[in-house]
Formats: sequence, C-alpha cells, structure tokens
Amino acid sequence: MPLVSFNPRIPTRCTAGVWFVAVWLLASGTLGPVQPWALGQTDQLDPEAFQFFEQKIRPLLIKHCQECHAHDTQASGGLRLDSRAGWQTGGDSGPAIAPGDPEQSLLWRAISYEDPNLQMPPAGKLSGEELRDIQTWIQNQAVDPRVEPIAAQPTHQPLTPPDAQQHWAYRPLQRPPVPDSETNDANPIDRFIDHELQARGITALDRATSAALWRRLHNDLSGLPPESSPELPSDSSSAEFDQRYLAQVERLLASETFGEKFARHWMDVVRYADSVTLRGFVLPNAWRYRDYLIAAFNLDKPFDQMIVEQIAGDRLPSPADDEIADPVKLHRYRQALIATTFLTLGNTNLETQDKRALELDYIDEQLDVIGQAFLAQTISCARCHDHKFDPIPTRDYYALAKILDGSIGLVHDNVSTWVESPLPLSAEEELLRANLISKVSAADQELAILKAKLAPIAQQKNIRMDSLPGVVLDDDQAQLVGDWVVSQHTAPFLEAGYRHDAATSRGQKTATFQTQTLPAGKYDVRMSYSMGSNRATNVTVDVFSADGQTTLRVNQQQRPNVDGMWHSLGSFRFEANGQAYVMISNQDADGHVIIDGVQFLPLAEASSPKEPKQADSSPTATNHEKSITDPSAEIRAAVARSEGQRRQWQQQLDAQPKFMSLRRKVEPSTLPILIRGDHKRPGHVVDRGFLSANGFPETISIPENSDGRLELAHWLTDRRNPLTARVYANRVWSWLMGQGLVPSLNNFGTTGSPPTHPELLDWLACELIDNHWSTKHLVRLIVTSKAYQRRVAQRSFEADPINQWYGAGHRRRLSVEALRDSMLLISGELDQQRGGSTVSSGTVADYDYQHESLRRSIYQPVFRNALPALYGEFDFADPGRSIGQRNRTTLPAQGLVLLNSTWVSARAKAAAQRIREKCRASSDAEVTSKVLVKTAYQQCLGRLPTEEELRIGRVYLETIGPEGDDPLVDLVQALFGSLEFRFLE
Amino acid sequence: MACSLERRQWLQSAACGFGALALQSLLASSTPASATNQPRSAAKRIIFLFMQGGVSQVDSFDHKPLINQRAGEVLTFADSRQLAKIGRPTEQRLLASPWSFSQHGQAGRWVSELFPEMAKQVDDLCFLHAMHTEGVAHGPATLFLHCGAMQEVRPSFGSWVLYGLGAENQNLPGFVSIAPSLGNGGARNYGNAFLPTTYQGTPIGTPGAESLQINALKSPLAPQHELARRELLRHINRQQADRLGAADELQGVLESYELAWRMQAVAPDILDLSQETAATLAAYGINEPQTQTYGRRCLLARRLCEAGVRFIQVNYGDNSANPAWDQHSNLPKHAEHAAAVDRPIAGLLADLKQRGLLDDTIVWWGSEFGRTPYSENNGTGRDHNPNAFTMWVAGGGFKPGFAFGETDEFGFQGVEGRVHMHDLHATLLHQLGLDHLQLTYKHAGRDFRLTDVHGRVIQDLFS
Repeated sequence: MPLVSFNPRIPTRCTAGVWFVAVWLLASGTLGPVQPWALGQTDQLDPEAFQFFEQKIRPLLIKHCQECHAHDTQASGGLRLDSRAGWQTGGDSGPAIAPGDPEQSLLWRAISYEDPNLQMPPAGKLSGEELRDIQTWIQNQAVDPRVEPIAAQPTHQPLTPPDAQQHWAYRPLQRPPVPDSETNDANPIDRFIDHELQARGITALDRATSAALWRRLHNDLSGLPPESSPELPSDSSSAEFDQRYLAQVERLLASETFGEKFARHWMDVVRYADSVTLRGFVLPNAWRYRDYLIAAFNLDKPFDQMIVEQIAGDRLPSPADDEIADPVKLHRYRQALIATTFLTLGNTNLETQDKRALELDYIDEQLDVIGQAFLAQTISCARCHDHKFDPIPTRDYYALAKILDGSIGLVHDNVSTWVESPLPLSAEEELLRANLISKVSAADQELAILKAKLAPIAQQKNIRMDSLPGVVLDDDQAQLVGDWVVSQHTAPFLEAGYRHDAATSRGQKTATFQTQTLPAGKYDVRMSYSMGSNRATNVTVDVFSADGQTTLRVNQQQRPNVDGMWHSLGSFRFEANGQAYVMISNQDADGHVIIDGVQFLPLAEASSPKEPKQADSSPTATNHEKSITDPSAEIRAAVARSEGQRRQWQQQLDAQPKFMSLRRKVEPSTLPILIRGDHKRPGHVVDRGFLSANGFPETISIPENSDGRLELAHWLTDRRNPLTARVYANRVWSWLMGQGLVPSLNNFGTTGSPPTHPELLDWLACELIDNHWSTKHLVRLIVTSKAYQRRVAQRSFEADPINQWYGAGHRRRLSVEALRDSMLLISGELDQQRGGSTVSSGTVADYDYQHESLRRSIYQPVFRNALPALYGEFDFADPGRSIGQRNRTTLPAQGLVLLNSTWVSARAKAAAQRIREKCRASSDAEVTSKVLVKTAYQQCLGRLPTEEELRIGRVYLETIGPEGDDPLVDLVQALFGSLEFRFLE
Repeated sequence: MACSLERRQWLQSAACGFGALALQSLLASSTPASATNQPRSAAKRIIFLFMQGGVSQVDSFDHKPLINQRAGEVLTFADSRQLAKIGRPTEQRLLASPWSFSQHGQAGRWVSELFPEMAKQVDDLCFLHAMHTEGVAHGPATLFLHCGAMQEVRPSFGSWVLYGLGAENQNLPGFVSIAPSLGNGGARNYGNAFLPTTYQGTPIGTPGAESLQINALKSPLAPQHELARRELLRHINRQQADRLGAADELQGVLESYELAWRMQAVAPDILDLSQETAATLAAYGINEPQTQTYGRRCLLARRLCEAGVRFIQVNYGDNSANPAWDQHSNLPKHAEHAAAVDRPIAGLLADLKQRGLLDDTIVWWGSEFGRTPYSENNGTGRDHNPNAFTMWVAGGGFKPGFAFGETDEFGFQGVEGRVHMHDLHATLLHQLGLDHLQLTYKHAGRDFRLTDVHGRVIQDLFS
C-alpha cells in the first residue's frame, strides 16, 4: 500500500476557495469560544493512557495528519495536531477534540467520513482499526503528553492600521512648498524635477525636435498622429514654436479625440469589456459606460464626481418629475446611472453552482477593482486573512464587502445573468411606452379569447406531426427509461397516442426527447400533454440547451399554456452540435406523468406558424384524416396575426435603452466575517465601514436606510483620504510620461514601489483637488513642462539607467490602439464616427467575432474571447482584471502580424493608393519615385526621408520591387513595421 | 524586374551589424534559478492530451462491476452539483456501463472495450485512479485544470512550464495548444495572465477546422518578393537605428524580426505532415475518416516534440457549452469520441517510444473531471464528478505499468491514494525539474505559484 499522506484543502489562499468540499463546517458558535474541558487536563498522566497514546495515537497522527496539521508544515485551517495545545485551541473552527466525547469532536466527525463536507484525511478514510483507536483515545479523555510550544510567531510583522502612517502612502496629504529655482516663473513641475536632477548631478537633455514633439503631443492627447504635415518651425526652441505648441495643446484638449484617448486609459484600470469569457456572452449595453467615460473626460468632469458616479451613481438623489422634463437634467441623471456599470464588468463565472459563493466572488471582484483603481490597495488579499503586508485587516474587508452586498448585479439561474435596467425616460418617451404597454396587454386579452376558442377544437382530434412547424418529436421517438404505458384516453395528443408512467416507480422513469439536427439559434421549446385531474402537478422537466440545464416544474392538471395542447417551456439558445434535448422524469411526481411530444420552434416562427402542410404534399396523402380541412385554421391564422403584432410592440418596448446595473437587495446585508473566505463558516459580525488605515473612519457614518455605497464614494473622494488623489495624479503622470512617480500604479501598499518624487506627487495631488479634480488641468501642467518635452536619449544615462529622474524623454511604444488608428488614418480609411453600440446586431456570443469596423479602436468591442486584430500581439490590457501599466513585450509574433496579416496588408494597400493620389493631385508632372518616397515618409512618420533613406526607397520602387504588384505597398508596410512607427521619440 | 546585379546585392546584404542584441528580452530563456534546484530532471517536455467534457472513468479505466450488478438501484450519493446547490446528498440511480471490461498487459489492467488500442499499451501507462479537482461546471473545472484557479485570472500550466524551463528551440514558440476550444475559459487556458507575454501559449488551428496553422506565419507574398521586402525593412530599420541610438529595446525589435523570419522558415516544415511515411500516417489513423482529425493533431504533437517545444497540448473538444465527452444523456456517444482518439493516442505513444522520446517526454491524458456512476436525473447519461476520476501519465520518469489510488465500489469517490489537481500539477512540475514551491512570480505585491498554497509531489509515481 502506498504511503497515504494528505493535504486537507482548506482554502487558506488569497483566492475564492469556497467550492472546497472539505470544509470544517461547524461554526464556532456551536461549541462556544472557550471549552472548560480544554483547560482541565493536567500533566499528571495515567501511565496506561500514556502508553496507549505513544503506541497507537502518536504514530497515527504523524502518519496521517501532521503533514499538513503541524506548526512546521502548513497548519492547514489553522489546526495543529502536533501538540496538545494545538488541538485544544483548534483551528479556524474551534477546538478539534472534546475529550470524552467523540461525537462532539470535530476531529472524529472529519475522520469518520460521515459528513460529505468534512472528510479527513483527504487521501482516504483511515482503516477500521485506526478509527477505533482514535475513538477509544477520545473516549478516554484524549490523554496527550505533548507539550511542545506552539509555533513561533512569524518574523514578518505586517503593518496594522494604528501604525499605518509608518508607510508613506497613508500619511495625510499636504501641499509641499515648491523648490526654489533660478527662474521662478518656471513650471512648478520642472522646479521639483530639476531640484532632484541637480542634487544628482545629472544634466538634462534639451527639447526634442519639433517633429518628434509634435507627434508625441498628438499621440498623448488624441491617440492619433498629426494628420497633415504642418509647416512647423524647424527649431523647437524658438519662441514661434512655443506659441504654436501652446495653441496646439489647447486645440487638442478641446478636441473630442481627447476623451477617446483618456477614456481608454481608464478602461484598462476598470477592466472594461463587452463580453464575459465563459460562454462568450455579449454584454449588449456595456458600451454606454464607455461612452460615458469619453464624454466625462471631454467635459473635464471633476474626477471626484466621476468616482461618486461610478461607485454610487444609482444612489444619488433622483431628480423630481419636473426636473426630468429638463433634457439637460435628464441627461445628467442618465449619465450617473450608466456610470455604475463600472461595478458590473467583472469577468464573472456565471456558471458557478453555489450561488452565494458566486455573489461573494462577485463582490470580491468589485472590491479588488475599487481597491486597485481608486486606492492602489490590494484589498482582496484580506478576504481570507488579515493582509500579510498592508494594514488591511479582514474586518475592514468585510466592512466594505457588507456595503457592496447591499446590491448585486446578478439574476440567478443555473447559468446566472447580469442585470439590465431601463434608463429613465423623458415625459414624451414615457407616453410612448405607456401606449405600447397597453397595446400589448390588449393583444394578450385578444389572444386569450382566441385560444379559448381553439381549445375545444383541439380536443377533438389527434394532431399530426407534419402539420407542425419546427422540429417535433413524438413520444414514440423518445429514449425511455422504465415502463411507460401507451394510451389514447384523453385527446388531443400528438400522432397515435401518448404515454404515462402509471404513477409507479417514482424517480425511476425518464423520457428523453433529443434532436441531433437542430440548426443553431433561439427556439421556443414546447411540450404537449393531455391534461387531467389525476395528473401530477409537479412534473420535472429539464431542458438542456447551450445555456446549460434548466429545470422546470409543469403542472399537468392545468391547461397547456399555448393552445390547450402545447405548453411553452420558454425560449432557449442552441448551438450547432451542442446539446438539445428535453428530459421528463417522474421524480417526486404527485400524480400521473404524461409524455406526448416535444417541439423546438424557431423563435422567428413562434408567432407566425407556417401554414399546415397541404395534404397532397405528403407521401401519406391518401390518409383519410389528412384530407379533412382543419376547422381551426382560421382561428390559428388570427392567433398568428395577433401574436405577430404583439411581438412587434414587445420588440419596441424591449428596444427602450437599458444599462448594466445592480439590483438592490430587499434585505439589508447581514454578511459576517467569513472564516477563510468561506460563506459556510460565518464568523463575527462587523459594521459596514471603510479602510481603517486611511484615517477618519468614524467621521462618515452610514445611515440605517442607506446601503452605504454613496458614503463609500464620499469617503473615497474626501480630501482627508490620503490615497485617492495621489493614485489618480500618479496615473495621469504615467499616461503622459511613460512611467509613474510611483511605478507600481495599482499598488501603493508596502510591497509596491515608493515614489521617486514624493513632494511632486503630493503637489500634483493637491493641485488636482484644488482645481476641482480637473484632469485637463493636470494634463496641461505636465505637457507644458520641460520634463515632458525633452528628447529621448540615444544611450541611457549612467547615473540614471532607467531615467527615473526624467533627465531625458521616455521612449514609448505606440499602444495597439494608436498603432491601429494610425494605420487607418494614413490609409484614409478611418471612420471617425463617435459613440454608440458597435457590436454587429444579433451577436449573442463573442466566439469568432469578425471585427470589420474601421472606426477608432476604442469603439471596437472588447470581446474577451475575440479581441480585434493586433490586440493579442501588441500588449493590449488584459480585460479580466485592473491594469495599471500594460506589458511591454517584444515578440516575433508582432513582426509576423505586421508583415503577413491580411489586416495590415489591406491598410498598406489603401495607404499606397492614397499616397499616389495625393502626389498626382499636387503635381502636373509625372509622379517620380522620389516624390512617392518623400510623401510616404511624410505620411507615415511625419518627417521627410534622409538622403540615404530616399535612395533606398527609390531603389526599391525603381528596380527591386515586385513585378505586377505595386512596390509602394511594400514601402508603406515596411514603414508601418519600422522602429520609428512603433515607437514615440 | 530590372538590374539583376543590384537585386542580388540587395538580397545578399544579410542582416548584420546590430551588435550585441537584447536577446534576453525576447527569448523565453530566462529561468528563475531557484526553481530548478531539483536533484534530477527526467523530462524535458510534456504533451497533454486533453479530453474536453469529462471522460467517464467507470466506462473506461476504472472497472466497477458492482455498478452493472446493481444497476437501477437508488442509493444516496453526495453528488457535487447538488451539494453545491442544496448542501446535502441526494438519491441517485445507478446506471450500468454499456461496455464490457477485460484485463490487459502484464499488469492485468482493466480497460473497457472503448479503448482497444490504448489497452495494448497499458504496460507503458501510469494510472491515477483517485484524481479529484475543483469545480462542478465545465468552466470552473477547465480553468482549474489549466491554471490551478477557477475564478481569478492566473497563468496557465504551460506558461509556468515555459517560464520555468525556457525554450529549447529558439525558432519556435515554446508552448502550443493544438485546436484549443474557445469555450470554458478559452484563451485563458493557454494564457500567460501576469507572466510576461513571452510565456503565452500559441494556438495552432481551431476545434472545427482541419487546418493546423499559426496565425500570420505564412507570408501572402511570393518567396522572392517576400525576401526583397524583408531586406527593405532591414535597410529602413538600420537607418533609423543609426539615428535613434542603440537602446536595448530597439535592438530587441530588430532581433524579433529576425526571429520571426527564422520561425517563418522553420515552422511550416514542422507543421507539414506530408513528410511522414505512409506507415506512420496509418499508425496515427490519418487515413481513416473517423480518426484522421485527432490523428493529425497527435502526429503534429510528435513533430513539435522533436523540434523542442516544451508544452504541447492536443485538444479533443469543441466550442460548445457542453463539449465533446459531456454525455449528460446518450452515454453511448462516448464510443464515438473514443473511436476518434484511441488509435491516434496509441499511435503517438508507440511512435514516441520507438524514437526514444518517451524517456524525456511526459504524456498526460485526461479531462477536467470524471462522471458519476449514476445517471443524470435518471436519464440516459452521467453527470459531472470532480470527486473521482482517472488520468494517466506515461514516460518522463513515471512508473510504467503502474496504478495509483483507488475509488470506492462505485468509482464515485477516491478512498485511497487520492491526488488533487494541485498535487498532480506539483508532481508534473517536479518531473520537469521544477519545484512548485520555488516556481514563483511576483505580481501585485506577492509571489504567485501554479499551486497557490497547495500541492504535494506524489513520490510513489516515480520509477
């Protein structure tokens, strides 16, 4: 027998381990915190008991338990079985042994394997003899001579909230004095930067060339290259250039392209996406949040207001009726609501079966993003234990989680879904809506009357399968398990008859109606049964579709809901070659279970059934029954008409704008601290609250009737919060300068990097707050600084190899969006339309989505399973989590895709054609290769070629280039792949 | 085309003069030193044959005659799905296996008639009968199998392996996934998450299509034309590099082009299966309609293995929510899937062995979870079972002809030698010479591992 060792998988990790089966289920409350018996044992041991322990129990514990439950191993679940004190104190769930009483002992419960949630050792149950020994030992008071000290305290001591200010980030924010400099009119940023440079004896480089600086500015503020070649003064240090530069800063700040560029920065931080990974579900209204961000940055909405709206836009006071009539106020109200989509965009695993666990994971994800985005704190580390490094105790985590637990962005089902709520409407739109609603309800009444007429007709006869649309399966075609009795007793029924289970062998009979040939799409799935008073009221019906398994209960004593024969089970999505079947079982049935037929009705047809097939078109046309005209045809046609209209109105109703939102929970949250993050192990209850390390925890109180989200938003944006403004100012700096003053943008904790320029960071943060949290104010300050405008060093400074003192400009890469947008702009194909949904209509899942749109990259749907061309190769931000700084990788796949992909080739082709046209238009003479090369360089790189570059280009165009194909395409594509195109100088 | 002299010069001016290149930033060749302090490293690479959807262990390798003897009886089981949903065990009806079992090899292993070809090779296989894992649904369990986590975005196994070992062949991606499914985690199952992009898996082909190609590997241009344009780019870049300076980052880009072109030269050859003999093609079942799809993938795996790719995943699955082996109903459909993979896998094993590759290559077979011995809602199929299922490993220093772990009389729950997915990850890493405790990456302020805070190396499996 192999050595049985084990590893109890108590979730001790920083992760959502709540699925774990081996769970110490017993809440600490059951046994009480202090057990008198745990204190009673003395060191006076009975020699017989001592011998029994040494011979039987000690080896057994070593062999089976101590690999995990010992102070020098993992002490899984906090439990140590290597000393008496270890099991007396016990682990997370309290003492492990109640001496004298095995039944009351957690240890016994675990090793007896009687509780499916608690089975130890995980590698397999102990032998019968071993179990008897343990039982005997516990019964005889669990005599245990082992008195070794409990584990030594860990050497590393994390910060606690009271000492939080030992770490720079938690210290209060104060405006530092600006260092003196020779020219006191200088940009304060330069006075901070120069001060450090001088202190280190680094001589800063001068301004970049005018072309390089122009391109840098355009890229940073708009994400696009300068479109036409401006006649720039060649000397970038001239006053004339200065003037042009300052004017261009204002122009770019005022352009709508500014919001498109800056919204994308923020979208990295908030893990923006238009779909979820699992099953590729498309989130059809996520784009409204993207458009909200673009508009907010363009309006220069104060960032504190943006925070409040993103965290609690739905908790702001809603405008009164007369205010809604004001389109401006209505718009503002809508924008605030849409902003809360921020909380709903996690890459949620909707399939998780334990729905409470799913909700807690959802909240964890929200906390993770809120913590990183606004505070640069790794709060979610404190879900299972106090933060190992930062002053974030578990009680703070649950104080925050309890706030978020006041609402949830999920509707539960086997596969849960997200929540979409209608946006508030103007009075005019409300009227339209009310009108539609009354139309629909009138149609419902009419349909009820028509269908009642239809029912008696239907009852007269059996129905032929080939008279029905969609895929129809009779009970004869079902896979049957158990005995089913054929009957024709009660009409109507499909084909020759139906079957029933004779109300015997409950839980042992099933009928599976399966089709292998269903085309992909959405279907109304229906079953037929003949109703009757002896029928079961609770027939279990499972529909297996692309969305998993849906269990329904059908009352067969009631009239089938469609027309007295067919009963609609709902609409379901099916994939090609995916599962498509309905299983009816007599599990727990309280009467006869009837199986007759199942119909998969394509949804397009559901309301407009095709005409019953003509008798003569059927091979069995001679059949007497078929030649009879169906007397119900007229009524059926009326039903179809009415249903068709109803569907149209319903579609108009459904088209009312919606946004991704949270639904408020009815009951206030009672979420306690969860031991090791496991919701089956509740601990102490904490009040709602905020991070205690940030100070002023008591000054913002949460009223009883509030779920606390608005207060959370106010706490985040409070001037006394030392993190929020610092974190955001640092981000804006990094978006323009290429790296943060704190390089770890999402982590200001003790494991992050300290600021290179703490005073400058604080100055910028104060500047932000004092200027109404204006993003554009910070941007203007930074891009007009000398530090921003320096040229990139050819070789790194010896005194500053990573350029952290900003003596030179940072060489930066074009983001994938800028790369893509630049090519489209140069090729003349860029579609500059702004805003709105860009997902092709009818897209339900993102798999294999074809991104064909030529709009700016920010408008391409961020599909987690199908990113647009180039995104995968060029370090696009992982949309699954908050990203502060994108990766910077250099991979062969990048070269391959730039040179070989059809997308880039198509852009090069269009750009070459455009360049030829441009050249032709500007000159009467025949276009020479010299002109072509010059124009190509000007268009692609924003500068003219050098002599040697011109020579190379001409040689290629004149002699080397391919026969038949346009060599200019190659030149353009090579320029797209060149260093200067991919990097900003 | 004019001027042949100039043309020849153009093509002959090879890429040179770039000095010492920043190769480190490009090639997956940096290894965390502390992770490879294992005394012995048996295996250099790993092939994972992923059977997506959940192969039923009690219909394949875990013979439980009692199920058939007591088929139809209703018993109480701690069904994982019900446990997650309602928190208590439920009554379930045993479903007989439609396939008969017989003993094979010197060890007398039981194998069902689903896998007649693999049955001939049981003496090379090392079975783990009491595997268990996390996640009751496909999505979570598939991510857990690949990344050791269900909800959080974590690097996949292959990325960790490549990060730990570095690439063996600098002209090829070090980690490939052949015909990966888009469903159930999709690209996350071969994603690098927070590891550098260098360690990301490269997908080859898609589940539905026969074609096995790498994205943008082939140039759309004629060969001479392509060579000329390549040279044009070299000239343009050299001019720019002279102006911009010798920063490592720029040199890295220049080198990445050279590497791309080498890959463009080498990879198509490796992807081209037509170079194989008729006998080899037959051994993988490539001339039979039923087996040709998976056969081609397996043969490609061997070719990649020879070329020095570290981690090769050969997927059998599809994009649907209920992929391939997921027989909730119609259990007999398992036979179709078995027939599609049995010969190709047997062919691969025999081929690796014959070429001496099995000694330093691990072959790993299995699903994200197993299936229940009872029927789903008393129907005609089986539900998911993460509590117990069978995987096998072969080669790479694992004991051949060995079986570890046992399940209960119905194959529902492991009773001895249980191996958690974290444990198997730790064990596989160990055989690749990597210590799962040391193979860490610092991210968001802490060190991450494939096995999180879990995992133990199962020493019993090593020969």
